[in-house]
Amino acid sequence: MLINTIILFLQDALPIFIVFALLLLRTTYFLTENDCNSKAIIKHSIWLMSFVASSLIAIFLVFILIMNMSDIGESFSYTGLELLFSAGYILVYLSIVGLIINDISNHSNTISYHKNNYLSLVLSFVLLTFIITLNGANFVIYFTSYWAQADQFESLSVGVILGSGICISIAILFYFILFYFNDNIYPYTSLGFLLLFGSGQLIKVSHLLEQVDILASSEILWNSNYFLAENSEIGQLFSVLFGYDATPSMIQLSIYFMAIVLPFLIIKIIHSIRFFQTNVETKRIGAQL
Amino acid sequence: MFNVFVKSFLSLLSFSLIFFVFNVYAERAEFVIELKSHLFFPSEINIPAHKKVKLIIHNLDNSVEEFDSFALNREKVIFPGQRAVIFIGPLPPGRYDFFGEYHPNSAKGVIVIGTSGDKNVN
Repeated sequence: MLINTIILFLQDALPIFIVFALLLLRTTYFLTENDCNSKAIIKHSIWLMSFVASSLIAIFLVFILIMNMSDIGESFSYTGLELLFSAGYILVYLSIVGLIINDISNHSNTISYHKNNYLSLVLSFVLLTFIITLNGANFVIYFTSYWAQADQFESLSVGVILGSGICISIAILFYFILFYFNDNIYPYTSLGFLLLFGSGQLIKVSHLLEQVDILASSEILWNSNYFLAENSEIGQLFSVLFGYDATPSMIQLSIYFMAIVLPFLIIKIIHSIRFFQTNVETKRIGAQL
Repeated sequence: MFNVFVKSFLSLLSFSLIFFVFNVYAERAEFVIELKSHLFFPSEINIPAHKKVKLIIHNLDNSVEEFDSFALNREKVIFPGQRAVIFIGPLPPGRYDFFGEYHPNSAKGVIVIGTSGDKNVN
């Protein structure tokens, strides 16, 4: 029971803490790189308030979801929950892609970066709201079921304390390690981790859709459980951070690869369009002179 | 510039084709598991190898349970009195454990995938 509670924290609570750490890092690191005297910039306090607001809305959505989970589960020939969660995780991934594209493609252009900060605010809000809602629902169901078992109170309480401590420690370590990497190794390291996290969400989508026979299943390519067991604590941690799957299929591997490549493709297209527009503008000005 | 667009379009097209690996609907062999008093009945199920099958889990208890299996990469919350449908496979021969996450000490079972035969087909 104690181990189960800790694994539950790693599976469902840790993603929330990781997203908080990554969004906080994005807010504190990237915004200080720009012109802070600009009136268009969104202050740190507004970012923090948006995080709090999204958390409160997510908690409300968690309870709405739990109250209707039973009916949703029986809808669409017993595939309702999988479809709902899949849509949620896809939205999480798309929000992450939007944030990455915004940060990388606009970072050298201060004015458009400031304009797009409002877009980043909305994307961060959506990302945090959905990640808390989706993971929080399973979390709350687990605890309400366990609290009903009086003889498990002690192990559950110890598990909660240990699990919370582990999640907070990992999130804080993650924040400071990535801050160091951003400063000393590569400025977009944290965005890279955010992308890996988002790609991991699409792996969850593939599992859910395979579970209800919407996505075709294929034979597994390899089994790395001997090297790193997926149901171990480290395996669960890697599963949350990067979407680690000890028994991936070809489809899952393809989805993961494409999920990583897609933002860079879109950034290349945006840069190409800007380069083309700049050339056209330069030629037009040259012709006028 | 045009080459970039062509390459990007082809990459995006190949990415979108991933989502067209949807299943062609086919009849799947069905296996029913009942959950009573936090125990799975049957606790051992034999299914054919390399085939996708449908598991129907019926929660006859008054409490929520979560069907969970790391080996099968499946987990689903099942509310009291309700059924859940999970598809598993195609899997190679072997033993694949599953358990009830909310009562892991009692709700345990194993899916045995043999080399041939359709035992326990409902």
